[in-house]
Amino acid sequence: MPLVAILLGFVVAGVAVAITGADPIQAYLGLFQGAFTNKHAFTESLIASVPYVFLGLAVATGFRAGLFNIGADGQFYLGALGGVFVGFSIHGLPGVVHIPLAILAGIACGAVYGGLPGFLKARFGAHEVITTIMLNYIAYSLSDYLINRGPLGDPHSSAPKTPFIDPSAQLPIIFADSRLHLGLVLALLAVPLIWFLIERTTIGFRIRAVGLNPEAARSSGISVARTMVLVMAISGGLAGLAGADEVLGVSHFMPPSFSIGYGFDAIAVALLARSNPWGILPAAFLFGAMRNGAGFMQLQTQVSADMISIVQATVIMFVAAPVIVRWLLRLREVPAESLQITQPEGVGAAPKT
Amino acid sequence: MDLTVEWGQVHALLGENGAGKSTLMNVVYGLIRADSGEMRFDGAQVQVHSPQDAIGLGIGMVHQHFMLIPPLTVADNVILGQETARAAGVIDGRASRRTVRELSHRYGLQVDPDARVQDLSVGVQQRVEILKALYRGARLLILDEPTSVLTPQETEGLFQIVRGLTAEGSAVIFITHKLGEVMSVADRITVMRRGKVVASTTPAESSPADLARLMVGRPVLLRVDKGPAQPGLPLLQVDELSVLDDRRQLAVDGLSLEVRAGEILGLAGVEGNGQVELVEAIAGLRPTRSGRVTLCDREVTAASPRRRLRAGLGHIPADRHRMGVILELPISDNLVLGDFDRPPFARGIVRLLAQVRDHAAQLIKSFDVRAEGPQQVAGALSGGNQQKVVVARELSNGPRVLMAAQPTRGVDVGSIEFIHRQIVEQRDAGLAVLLVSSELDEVLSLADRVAVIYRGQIAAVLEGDEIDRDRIGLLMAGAKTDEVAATGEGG
Amino acid sequence: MVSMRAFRAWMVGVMAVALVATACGGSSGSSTAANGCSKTYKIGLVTDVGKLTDKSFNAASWQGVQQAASDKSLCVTAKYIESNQPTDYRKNMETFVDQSYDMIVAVGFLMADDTLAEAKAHPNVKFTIVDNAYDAAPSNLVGLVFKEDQAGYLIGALAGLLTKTNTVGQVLGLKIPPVQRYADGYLAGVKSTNPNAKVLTVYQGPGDGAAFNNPAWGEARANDEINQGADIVFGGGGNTGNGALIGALQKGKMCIGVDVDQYLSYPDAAKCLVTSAEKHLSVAVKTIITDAVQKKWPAATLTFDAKNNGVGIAPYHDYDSKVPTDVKTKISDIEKKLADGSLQTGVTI
Repeated sequence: MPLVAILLGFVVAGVAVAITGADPIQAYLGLFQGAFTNKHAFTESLIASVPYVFLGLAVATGFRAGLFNIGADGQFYLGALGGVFVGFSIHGLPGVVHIPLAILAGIACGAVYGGLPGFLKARFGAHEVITTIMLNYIAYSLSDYLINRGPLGDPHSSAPKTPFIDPSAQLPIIFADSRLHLGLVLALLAVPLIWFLIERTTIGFRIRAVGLNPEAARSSGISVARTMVLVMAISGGLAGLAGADEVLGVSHFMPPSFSIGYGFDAIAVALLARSNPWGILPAAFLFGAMRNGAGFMQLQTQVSADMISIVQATVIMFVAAPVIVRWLLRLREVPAESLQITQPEGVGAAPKT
Repeated sequence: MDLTVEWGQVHALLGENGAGKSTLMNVVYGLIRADSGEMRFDGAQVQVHSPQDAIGLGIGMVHQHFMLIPPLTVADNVILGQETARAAGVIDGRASRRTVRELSHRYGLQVDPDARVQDLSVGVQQRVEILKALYRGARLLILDEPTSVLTPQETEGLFQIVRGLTAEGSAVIFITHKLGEVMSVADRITVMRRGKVVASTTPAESSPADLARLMVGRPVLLRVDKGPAQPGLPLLQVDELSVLDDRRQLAVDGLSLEVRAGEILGLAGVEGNGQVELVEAIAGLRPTRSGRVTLCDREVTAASPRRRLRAGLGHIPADRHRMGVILELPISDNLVLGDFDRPPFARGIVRLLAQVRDHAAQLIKSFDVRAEGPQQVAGALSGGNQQKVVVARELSNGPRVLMAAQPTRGVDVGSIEFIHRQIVEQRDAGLAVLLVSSELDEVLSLADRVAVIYRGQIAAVLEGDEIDRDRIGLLMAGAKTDEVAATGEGG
Repeated sequence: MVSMRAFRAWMVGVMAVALVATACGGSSGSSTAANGCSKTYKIGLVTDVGKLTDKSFNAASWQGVQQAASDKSLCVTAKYIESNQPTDYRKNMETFVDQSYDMIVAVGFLMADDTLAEAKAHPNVKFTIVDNAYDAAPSNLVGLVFKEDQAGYLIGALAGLLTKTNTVGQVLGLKIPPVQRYADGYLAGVKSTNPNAKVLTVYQGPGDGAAFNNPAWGEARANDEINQGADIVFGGGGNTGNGALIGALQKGKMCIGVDVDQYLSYPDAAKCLVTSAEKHLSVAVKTIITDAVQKKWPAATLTFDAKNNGVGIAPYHDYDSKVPTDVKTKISDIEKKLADGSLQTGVTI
């Protein structure tokens, strides 16, 4: 069903492309070439997918506990700040120490920043959607301050950015003549790890129980409050890992406007994957490939790169509304409330004579 | 299946939950469409595709859950959707009030058209629902489990209204699973089992035992067999407990009670008198304002639910779907909700799923849960089997105090029998059992002592010969102990 | 009206076509080689996150590229890629390199490090970057810089003469050198004609939404400044600055545009636009492209100033009748002195 939704998304966005005056077939060809067949295209698609994997897992983990973490973008920033700070401020460490340290710093920053709304919800009942949105703004402004005028700015540059991280903190390239970095391996490891955590551990059981039925979980002795804080910390940690990974693997410094909406796209990734960790992999790859192919698509047809956002949004719409897909394909609708008993053969009310 | 209802009769539709009674009536009322078959009304074949069609024919339905708007007045609720409008869409308030008052008077409903629905008791709200149906010209009235929310006295009042309706020539279909009510109110009885009519009879031609056998498909023990209680030391003590409800009103007001080892204390009362809040406070799910809860000589007033569980409290919650089971999870997981993180079900943080499954297989067998296997999701089970899962879980934790709230609500007769037997067995094994139930029959047949709760306080605790249906009914309605004693002796 | 059934059939049909087309693949559709050219010179432009729709900075650079492309004698074809985020800069330049483009135009100071790295990695491709000068760059990379302070000085002098509240404001993009030169030039200009005037200045921070592309923020800051008494607002920062112009327009105050003659490029704000501080990006971009095609590639950073028509002040348009003649005379006098070098702005960034 998600596949059909994706196809429909492309069709509808294709119509939008045609309306702007470009040729949708050429545009999609360009997208496909830019994402897969051009030189570097495939590795670049993988690179672009890596943050989506971590962030998708982050949002999906929150979903499993019934929490809507809209703050992944802010946690991503915090993770990037933590990673880049350890990356440029500590010198003389071997890579095997420096890299894990920087990554852990990113995870820790994200986890604290994600755990905070979890705590606010558990302790004061503040809705996580509102607090995480607000914390996003705080994260943007904090990174603004730190990069631009604060302690993380590059004193040797007049541009608002952090210094470059030491080479010892850079994630090694794992595929010659490309930018493909160790982050891909981390992402591929994170998926089974999160799957195991959710499906096979007591922590995951608590998360699922709270997500499915918090009242029942509470009445059988599970601390809903503690679980919420924990889940948000795990979610934030994953988002922080994504931020650190981008800094250590791709940019090697932190520029302003570091992520325009990665954390929001991640909500779509998690929805597309139906919050299943394994489903995150193809969903993240789809988003990474679309984002990567967008440049070449534009080069070929000069259509606006915003069309990619339209494709993404349309796909999500169809995923979220499977009824539309079913209707379009004339699949027989299953009644919302199926009857479980044999139907009466005849009901009559005879008049009294 | 066939069903024929005659004018001027009360036709009881008897069957267990899931037997198809409500589904059948929803077909009649146009909420569900039948796959095949025909329906005739007044001799003519009719098509009912929506409630509007049904209303047009003169069919009215009162659902288990009332469909009233609490802030509006009785008259407004009754005319809603059928307003008598004067020019320019202005509602003719005086005319509608007059009609409502006339109808109310004619059928002896005694409802004030100007009262706000939110200020009325459940029993009166139900009468407003009946008024609504009559106002729409109903001649065939369907009542779906109408007595589940009423006190014995209110139930008797309802029966009088029903008899009044049929005396006027209307027909009433009375859906229920309670045998006693059927015997006292019905003119004809149709018994359903698994979507089929298994018998059509009259109260004169049958007995409660016959009906129970027809309902369940095998002979049923109606009375719970139990010997006299041998109470020991108090295991659960509640002292001067006060608890607020969700609207921050005092729901439990300085209540005290104690339950001793080896006895069943039944807590009787009309719903909404603080039972829910009391149970939640004892379970640790709701903070207390003052007072103490003591469990096996340990004060647990402020302890977490988990600590109470470990201290020996088993809790069968009233609302199974909300608090008892997690419908989406397999039976096996539901059976270890309180123990999943302890040996033998986990090592460190890793769950040992094989152990969980074995444990489930064992409990499914010993508690007679009808399921495909441990991995079936709880939501796929019938209400009775879901409840057995809850009972199995709570008893397998080895509790010393069992708090059972509405343990057989929405449960089939076969499972009720099983659960009742379990409760009595646990009592005999030395557990202290607190039974909270709005089904007076259940309290009367199980409890060794009966405490009646009224407005968050214990109105009286009755023992032995004092346990009497009328007396309890009056206490539930707020009568003082001495008045009750007087009427008891007088009658 | 089309029936639902027909619509459904149509949708399924379109989907099938799209599927087939994607599956079959095919050759590239780009074929815009100019006529009569033995060899076409391929130019790719990469925008910063402000994108082509900024109506100032990226748009003007692209205009320069288009002017070169429409000059038949140069035999140039051109394409652009808009960057969604900073980590895409290198990738987008790399895409052009992979497609054997001869020259890449990077727009904006924010791309400086990435452009330098790309230039080093591909010595056979020519790179140019608008708004950046390098201390040391490989020979295939040339920066284009402007003396924005001169343009800023001109509009500042004008603002100082026109203000009635003795307070003027400026709402700027990120605090990077070209923006700072505008701002400091503006300040110096105001003080030269009206030493007692107050100048309110605000820069966009990296966290204030998309860099150079957050008009809502710009509008809010313009309102702040107007509330503090400013009656002229200079909007200097792409789409962010455009927001400031709109803010001034809605409060009925005067505004001054940036980079290009915004009366023409951004007619939405025409009613409040007294003039614009011009930086002739299109001139600069076309100049470097011409140099490249004609094999006159410069050895060092190219600087554009009042002398070589690289910066200036736009026509007054609707305000032509409202600006007093003596003010106009003073401004053109300053412009001449800046061009011949007899007047310095004092800005040294």
